[in-house]
Amino acid sequence: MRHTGFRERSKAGVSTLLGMLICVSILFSVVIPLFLYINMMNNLYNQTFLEMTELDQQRMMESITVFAYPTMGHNISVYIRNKCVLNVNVTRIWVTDLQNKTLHMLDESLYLTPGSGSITPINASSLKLGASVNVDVATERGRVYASETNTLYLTPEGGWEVLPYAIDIVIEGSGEGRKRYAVKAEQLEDPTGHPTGWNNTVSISTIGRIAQASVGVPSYGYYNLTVYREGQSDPFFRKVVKVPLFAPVVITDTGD
Amino acid sequence: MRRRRRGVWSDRRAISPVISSILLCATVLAVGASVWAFSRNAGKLLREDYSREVGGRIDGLRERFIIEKVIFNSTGNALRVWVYNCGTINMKLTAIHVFRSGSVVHSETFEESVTIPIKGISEISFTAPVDSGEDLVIQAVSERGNRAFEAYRVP
Repeated sequence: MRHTGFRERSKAGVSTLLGMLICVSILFSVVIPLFLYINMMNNLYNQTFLEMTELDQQRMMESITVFAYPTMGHNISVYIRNKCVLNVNVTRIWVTDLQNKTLHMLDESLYLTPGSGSITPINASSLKLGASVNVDVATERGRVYASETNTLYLTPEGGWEVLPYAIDIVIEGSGEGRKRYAVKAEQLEDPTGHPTGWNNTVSISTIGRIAQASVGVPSYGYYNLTVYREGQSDPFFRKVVKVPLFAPVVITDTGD
Repeated sequence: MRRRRRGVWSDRRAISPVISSILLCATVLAVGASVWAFSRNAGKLLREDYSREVGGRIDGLRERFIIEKVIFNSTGNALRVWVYNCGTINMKLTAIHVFRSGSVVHSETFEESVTIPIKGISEISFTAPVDSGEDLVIQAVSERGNRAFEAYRVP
């Protein structure tokens, strides 16, 4: 009986050992590699998430100032200054003719270090007289900046002007929350009495309860002013306003 | 003595435990090998599935794009939209939707997706039934399901 018992214990031990070896081999060849792989993929996901979050933060921090101003002839120059602590790569300058709905896209590659500026001349000879032009600058991080001097106006005499007259708009809102408006000024006729079809639209939003903006216009005279709430096609305010002619006040700095 | 002389093969009680032991080991080996092979294949499939899913999510995370410029020309109702890929992976544009007052007024879908490389820009031009003074929201949709929006007032 003891002899038989010894034999039974022995065979049970061999199969258990084999089973254990197979379990261990499954653990090392399947489970652990799978666990390591999943861990690696999770790390890769987290790393990508952090990289893209950093990219978004840099995009938020990016800040440049754009000034478009007239130079000799039909040309305009665009001064771009990097105001943020990051390097900024300007990729495109957009010049939009608001009247004729034409567009000029200039592929640029301006690398601006923090605090530096750059001037880019633009040949705008293809624009028609009387054109109103908006200048926008796009950066590599995917932000678009409008020129502080928008809208530039190409006078019928052939010179550029930053629209010399303006209609100041103040909208007092009611209730809470930020509201956005679009203000459209249409010139009824120019000072010589000829209809021009000129118009300019600006978007404004409330700060607190007040929304304030200035719509540049090319000359004195009468303008049809229309204000829309965002998302509504029917205007909530429409009025013909007069931009009067005032003699300019000359201020002289003698340096004393 | 008689038992020793005739050997183990004549002892039926000795043969059956040996065979059963061999059979048990063979069974354990066969079942174990099957389980091991099944586990390996299942692990491989799991790894591939997980890799595909997480890889897709990572690609989706790396995708960034904006609608950089919109312009509308009333002659021909032509709406021109420029989409810029500012992400870190190539993207495919599948559709552009034009919303007015919350409802879609026009959808432009592309049979062959428009591929935009990293830091690349692509112009999409189409006709849309919109009028001057309307507030539009332009939505660009990528193959990975990401979306970019731009508000635009028709001049």
